[in-house]
Amino acid sequence: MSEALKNFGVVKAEEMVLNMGPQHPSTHGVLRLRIRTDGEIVSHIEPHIGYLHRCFEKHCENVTYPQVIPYTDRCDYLASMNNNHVYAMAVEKLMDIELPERVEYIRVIVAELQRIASHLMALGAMGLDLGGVTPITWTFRDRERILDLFEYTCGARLLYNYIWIGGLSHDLPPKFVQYANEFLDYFEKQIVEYDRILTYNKIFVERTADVGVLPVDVAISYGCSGPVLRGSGVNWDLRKNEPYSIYDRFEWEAAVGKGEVGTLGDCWDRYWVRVEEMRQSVRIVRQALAQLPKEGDVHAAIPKKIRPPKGEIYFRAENPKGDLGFYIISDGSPVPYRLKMRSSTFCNLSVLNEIARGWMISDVVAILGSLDIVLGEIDR
Amino acid sequence: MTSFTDSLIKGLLDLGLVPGGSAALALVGAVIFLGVAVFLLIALNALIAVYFERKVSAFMQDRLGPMEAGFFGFAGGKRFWGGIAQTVADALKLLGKEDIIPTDTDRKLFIIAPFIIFGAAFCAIIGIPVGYGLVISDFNIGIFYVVAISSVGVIGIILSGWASNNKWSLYGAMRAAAQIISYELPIGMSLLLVVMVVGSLQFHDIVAWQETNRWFIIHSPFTVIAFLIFFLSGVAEVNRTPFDLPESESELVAGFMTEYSGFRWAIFFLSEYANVAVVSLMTAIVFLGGWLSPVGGLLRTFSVADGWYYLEGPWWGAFWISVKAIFLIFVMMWFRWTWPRMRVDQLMYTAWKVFIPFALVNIFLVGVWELLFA
Amino acid sequence: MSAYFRNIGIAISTLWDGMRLTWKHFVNKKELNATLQYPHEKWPIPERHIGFPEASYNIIRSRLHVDIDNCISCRRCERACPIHCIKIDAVKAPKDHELGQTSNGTDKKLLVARFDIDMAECCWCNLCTYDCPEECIYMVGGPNGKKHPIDYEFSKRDRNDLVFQFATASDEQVAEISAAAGVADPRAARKQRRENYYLPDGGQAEAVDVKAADKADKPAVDKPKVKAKPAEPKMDMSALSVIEDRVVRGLAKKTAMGAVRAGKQPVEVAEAVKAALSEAGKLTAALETIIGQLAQATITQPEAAATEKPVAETKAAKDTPEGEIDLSVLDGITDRMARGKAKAILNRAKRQGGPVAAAVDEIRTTLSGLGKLNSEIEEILAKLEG
Repeated sequence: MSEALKNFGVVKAEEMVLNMGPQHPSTHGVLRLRIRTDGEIVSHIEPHIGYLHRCFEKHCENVTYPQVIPYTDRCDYLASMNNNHVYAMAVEKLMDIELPERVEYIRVIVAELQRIASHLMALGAMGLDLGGVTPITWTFRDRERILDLFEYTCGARLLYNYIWIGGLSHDLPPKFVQYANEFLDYFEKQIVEYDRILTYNKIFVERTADVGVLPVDVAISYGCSGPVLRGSGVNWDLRKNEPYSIYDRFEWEAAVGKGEVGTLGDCWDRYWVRVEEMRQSVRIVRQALAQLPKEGDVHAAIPKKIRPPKGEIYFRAENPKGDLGFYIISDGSPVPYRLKMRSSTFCNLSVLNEIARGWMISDVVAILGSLDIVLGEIDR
Repeated sequence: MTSFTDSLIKGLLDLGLVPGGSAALALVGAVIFLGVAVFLLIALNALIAVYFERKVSAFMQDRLGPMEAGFFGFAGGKRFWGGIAQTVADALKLLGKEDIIPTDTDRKLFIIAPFIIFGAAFCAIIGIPVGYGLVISDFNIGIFYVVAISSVGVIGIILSGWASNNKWSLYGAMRAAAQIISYELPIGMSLLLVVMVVGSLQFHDIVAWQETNRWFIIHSPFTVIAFLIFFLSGVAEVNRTPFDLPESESELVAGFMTEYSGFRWAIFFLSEYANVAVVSLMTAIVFLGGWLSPVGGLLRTFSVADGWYYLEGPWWGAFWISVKAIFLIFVMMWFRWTWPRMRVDQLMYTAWKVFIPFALVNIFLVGVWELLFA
Repeated sequence: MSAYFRNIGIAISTLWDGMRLTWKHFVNKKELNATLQYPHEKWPIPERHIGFPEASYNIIRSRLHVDIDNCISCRRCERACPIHCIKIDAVKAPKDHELGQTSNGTDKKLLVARFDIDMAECCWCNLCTYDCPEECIYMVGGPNGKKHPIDYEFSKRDRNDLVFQFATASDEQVAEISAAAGVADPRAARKQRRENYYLPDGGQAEAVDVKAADKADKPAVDKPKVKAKPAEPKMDMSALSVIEDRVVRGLAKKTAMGAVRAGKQPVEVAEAVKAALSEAGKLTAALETIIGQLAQATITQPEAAATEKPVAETKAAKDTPEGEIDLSVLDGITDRMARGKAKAILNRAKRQGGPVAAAVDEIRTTLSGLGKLNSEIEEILAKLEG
């Protein structure tokens, strides 16, 4: 189909510049795309970002290490737990803190639940971009149950400030394990429903299969990561390749695109990787809940004064949307000297022009949905 | 058989309500009266259909839909009829909104475009019977008239898209033009098959044929396919998901009506739902036996004696045709809240490579079938 | 060709499958419904309290609440807040003013003149609640909070209503304490600042005034610490300042301070410091010489006069140090704009040390230029002149 569309371009008309966003229903926030089009065929896309820039990094140079955590919440606001986790792990590595077992398990549980919640949002939003309004209400309903679990755990529904340097803000509530297991039982059935309404729906497949194919070399040269990279068939999951926390203790497989209904690396593969990752996350959470140590003080390893020694560190981990990295320079004071955040979606978005060229405006929307960007993290 | 207009003119003259007994004056009076009636009908249709649509979508999405705006004792809240006045409130809000015409628009075309669309929908309704004799004007080329007049609406869409001076609107308008012209063909071909069998273009004749023989949808295996093609093309003709490309809200913001607001936008809305009603009524008449009673038809096949339980007659006819049309409208909503949207080239693929070949072959096969079995 | 028909077949089957699914949801709407009809039914809030044993602490982050009776104005919450939405003014009470105790049994030494939390700025990170030594600032909400009903809907019509003011100290009390401690009333300074801020035509004079008021505001916070000291014996601690390790320096100073207050002689003080440091395992030879210097320092006994500052002064008198102009006379002006203008001019005159009569004349001309001059103002201005 792509070839056929490219042949349309033989008859060239005058190009039109189209501004998509920052107020547009499908740009997932305040992204502005400057699209040069020939009719409906896109010849060039320029993403303009910065509408949500909040000086995250500069802010961090002025607040103490624990005070950075609420700011990391607000970067990728759909995966706050994961952001907290990566930042906390970075500072812990800098300070050389040994964590209690229970803390590690709880962190993995909440991080994986958050991954499911983030992917649910991505799924629903992609359906919405393609005109199917129903899936997003269903995915939101299920995401809501995860948020309920988080609220039960730490009192907040979206921006948690839950994972602290050296520990957690609260221990798990008494019935959390039971509720979480109930949710997982319920959720596994729901994934089948998403498959029926969206994943294998013919119109959805037609709209996404073979569309926006991202070749492996392009993906790697642009620094893509997460489901976008794995959708192209690269088995690169930091939880497997550079095991951090306690991910090496669980039995699971990294979801990698197979090109089931179209070319490897198309929108459908990126979408499917997310669906598959939700299944894997369910597996991880189940094992973690079963192995969760009964005893342990989540505050035990929290240092009295958080004042990392002089030095610098780069730490990265697998967020729902890709590799999230924190580069921290410490000058020995309680305030970071410099903090740099490596945003995964920024790199993932940069590939847009490369893969959306030659497709239609409708496909730009589909491709953007499959990249699953969050402007809070891109602009920071 | 007389139409509404005929009876109305006759009644006006008989009762001596027309000064001087002039037939021309009586015609004018009847036209004005019926015009207002049809307009009110369209408005009522939109009010009910929007509420219906919101409720259907809500239930399919595990929501409740509008639940707060109530009136006349139907207070909002945790009741089944909670949000019954929602669309009334929405309509009032739309009428009360500021009338905005953007600066760089082509002002005249911008103003006239919604009325062309509305006019097309309005004219189409005139030719459609909603029961035996319950038709405003019974054309002997009824089918042809409705198909022809309902595609006039596309001119309004193109005008609105062009006049808005907005790139999104232009895209929507161009898509609409391509789409509606393409889907005229399968619609025409599926109807051609019916006309071929019946031998008339008049709606009453088609229903009469179905009364003596059987409903078209069960007439032969090929008419089932014709029904599907006609109905799906009809969905495309009225720009509803999965064929709602002209206004695809996640790509083109609101397509050709991006720049419209308030009353002008409400006119688009009215005509959209009027078109939905027209397509459903036509499908019901042509393929589902129109105002024929399914109960009566079933009993007659089992040779049960005639009686009240046949549920036949002009008013029962109106009831049955509404039931059928409402069911079809529900199916349209069902499509909309289940499927994603197609892309332009896929839309064309569906029309030119699936519907039209099937419809062509269908005409031939129905002809053969008629030769063999009729 | 077979691919063509298979394609159509797959399309029909998968689309029909999707329709079956939505139909299932349509008919089972009652069981599957996820909507909560908000004003009619409310979200059940999970029952639980955070890690602390106090049952009244609530996990739900809905709104910050301060039990002001337990607050000791330590300002830890103010420092913990990443966005500075907590603002505290405190006045250190002199010795003879009892402020009572917190429920934990800590003596309150500072009077909370102002404890404002701007919930419109709050980011609900909960960091302030963990740092509070008295556990008196916490998030409320949820049915299990014994002290508070369900409170996740504290919406307000006006943005200013989201600034929650927790300080309960009355104006008189603040005035009294600050007078007793010999510092400016922090509230008056702030009020002045706000009035200057709202002046209408935003000219140069106003801008200067805001800054000036700012300056007036800030020392008010720090002053108590300096001025309240005459109430107790004082000792020159500069010898200790050369200690480099902050922890050791703090410990040494604290011990020395305690010893001085207990009425000990310099040599005894030095001994006490030494003992404390060796107990902490921090005592080195270098430190011993420094502490040796401390023993040579002298202790100044407090002057009796300082503690006998009259308490029952009126507010106006307190605000008017000798030889200065009393601004509060102008409070009688009802028109806000006129009042602000008049105060700004008078304030400037006051700062530049200009004569009152000239300032009053200027006020008269300015106000009559604005058409605001009336008999009421005339009367007040006459009073000011006289």
